[in-house]
Amino acid sequence: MKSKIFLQVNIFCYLVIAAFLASAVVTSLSSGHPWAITCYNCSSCSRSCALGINPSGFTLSAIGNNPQMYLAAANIRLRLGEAAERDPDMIVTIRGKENMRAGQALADGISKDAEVMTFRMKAKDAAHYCLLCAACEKNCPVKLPIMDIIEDLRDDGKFNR
Amino acid sequence: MENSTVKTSAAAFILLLLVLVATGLAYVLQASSSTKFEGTYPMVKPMVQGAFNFYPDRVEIKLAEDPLPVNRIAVFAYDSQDRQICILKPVYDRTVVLTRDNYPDYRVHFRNGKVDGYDLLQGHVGFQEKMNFVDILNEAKESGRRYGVQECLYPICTRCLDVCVVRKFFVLDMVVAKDGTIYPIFRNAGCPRCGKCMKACKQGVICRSIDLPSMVPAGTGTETVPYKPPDLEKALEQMTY
Repeated sequence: MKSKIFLQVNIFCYLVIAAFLASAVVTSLSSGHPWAITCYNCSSCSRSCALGINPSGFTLSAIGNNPQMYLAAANIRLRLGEAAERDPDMIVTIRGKENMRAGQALADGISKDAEVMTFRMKAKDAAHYCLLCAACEKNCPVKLPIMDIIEDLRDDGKFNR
Repeated sequence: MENSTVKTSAAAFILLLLVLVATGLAYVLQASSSTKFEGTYPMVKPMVQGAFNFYPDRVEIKLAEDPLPVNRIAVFAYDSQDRQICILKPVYDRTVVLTRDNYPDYRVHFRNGKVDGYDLLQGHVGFQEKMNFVDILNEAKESGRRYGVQECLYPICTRCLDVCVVRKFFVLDMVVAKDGTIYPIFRNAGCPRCGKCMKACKQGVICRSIDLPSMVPAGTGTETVPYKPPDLEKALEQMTY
């Protein structure tokens, strides 16, 4: 009896995992970048980005078909006003202060012309500021076409391909 | 009877072979033609000029034009070991402002006048080498070392070199000008005009020659670039093949 329950629980768990993986396949297919599912987050790409963007965040957003997904982007300089206009929830680093949301920083009275550095931002915004140098793609050990996602998102912030 | 069947089969086989060869030839000729004559010669856009104003707490750089299409530019200064130290800055109203909390992003090494590699300095938390860029610029100015701005992001970006089908013949190469800027040069004699480098250059440094009508037209023999810095000839002489 015990072994039968154990078997049933086991099968149920496997089905849940299979359903989860299948949903990832479906969403990655619907984003138009199904190969993104083969990214194993080795972070080789992130070590090569001069703007401190973690490009595996782009592959994750493609897997989830979600351009709004936040990724690490530690070194993009821009004005606070621009950051808040693009995404008030963007996490930025401001001189002499802790990391904070761009909208909150503006509300705290920091000038919109103050230059800030990003810390976390949406994948579509990171694609907008990306230099398109393809250093991430070059350093990818499995040569995933990360630039395809970036260029796709860059146009209108959506997955269209 | 049997002999004629063999003859007919042989004739059909030869005919089929001829059709296949003709199709293949047509395909190859069509492909090579479209690749060769599709585009125009690539050219290097004139480098953006920047006027530096030094203040005690900041450095302001007024650009002669907007950097297109990426609204971001590399400001560089050479250190005492003749390495190019760069920072990537956004451009607002054709102005770049460097303050004391700006730290460089990457450092380029040279060997025999050619780029030998680079280090990322600021890319990530825990991966930083804190060097105030305003101080670096001031030091470069006082010591008479080179500093300036450039749009080409080589060696961070190598897209043009990666896609160039005739790179091994040095049709496309990178040179370091006397003022310290790094930029691509073309030797049009071997260029197949495939257009891949123009498409790959997202900084807008490489463009079609027909987009720059006032520049030097494409040459057919020796090196030709639209913007010819005074020390270009010397830089080319120093290059080894």
